[in-house]
Amino acid sequence: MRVFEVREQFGNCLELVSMDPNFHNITVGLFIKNDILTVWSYSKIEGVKSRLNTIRDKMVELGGLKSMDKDFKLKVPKGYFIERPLRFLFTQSVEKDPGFKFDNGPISASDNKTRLSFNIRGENKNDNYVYVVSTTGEHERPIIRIRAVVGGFVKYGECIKLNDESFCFKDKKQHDEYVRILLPYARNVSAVENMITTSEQTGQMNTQTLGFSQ
Amino acid sequence: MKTMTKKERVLNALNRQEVDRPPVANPTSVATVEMMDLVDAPFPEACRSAELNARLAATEITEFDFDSIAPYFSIIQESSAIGCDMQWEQKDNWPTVRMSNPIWQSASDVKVPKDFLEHKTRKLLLIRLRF
Repeated sequence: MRVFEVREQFGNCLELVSMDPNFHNITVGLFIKNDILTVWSYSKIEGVKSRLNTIRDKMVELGGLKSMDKDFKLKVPKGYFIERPLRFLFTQSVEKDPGFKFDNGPISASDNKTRLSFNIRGENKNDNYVYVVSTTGEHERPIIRIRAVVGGFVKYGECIKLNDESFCFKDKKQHDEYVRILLPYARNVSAVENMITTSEQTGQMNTQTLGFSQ
Repeated sequence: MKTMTKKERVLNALNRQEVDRPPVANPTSVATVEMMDLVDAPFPEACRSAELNARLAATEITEFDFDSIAPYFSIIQESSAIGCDMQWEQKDNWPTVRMSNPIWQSASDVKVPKDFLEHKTRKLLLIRLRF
């Protein structure tokens, strides 16, 4: 397909992975038009169609999205279009080992700045699905780290902060898949911001990269 | 006014003459990872092979329809031909010269290798312009 056909048929590119480590370093993009997502690559390498469908299926499995009958396509259920977690979900679906699965148990992750572990529990309160962050482990003031995690969910999940320890999504619904995806990013926003900036600058030609490295 | 060729349009604009429409002239190269996939000409190979380089550069016309293009990528061909220590990078980044490992310490060290024009990266620049 030509570039203009891809834009016309699939819409805007929401996220791009420059090199798929699990399939010949092809470039894979996630496109969106209305509420239909398309996983697409311009590569014509043999097996690419199967690979794109595998990525699509992984997004469905990890992110709670709906697969469609057509190749490479999936649908965003109402309330599930939250850009940043969708982009993280796509990146993980491409870059993680194809056999990767989230643990279905309680949502938790260790803090990479302290010896704490974060635990996130959700519950319905007055038609609002509220996620509460707590910690296990030793720290003088765990609330500082909890507050940071809640801030991370506000930043990356477009969540609403309810208090220092809890948040909900904009549609007030349950989105455990997104919480699992976002927690590793939400726990360390500054490092993630650096990672995103570095990633965005890769391949940009500017006066710093104009043919000469240090 | 009759429709101009791309060349006429760009040259007329540069000479401050009439044009059928403003040219879309790109003074620098366009290399995207997606176009590398489309024509199977990825970096860094496309910086070392005349054919791959030409194939990738052609997407600036076939896909983006620029009126003029820069048919070369990066500015490292001469550095490579001179013998600089190169960091060729991978598909998603530009090749660079490792400045931390200079091959010359002073002006007296500067020598242009005898095979400079025949070096594959230098030759590439000459060959691909014929494509």
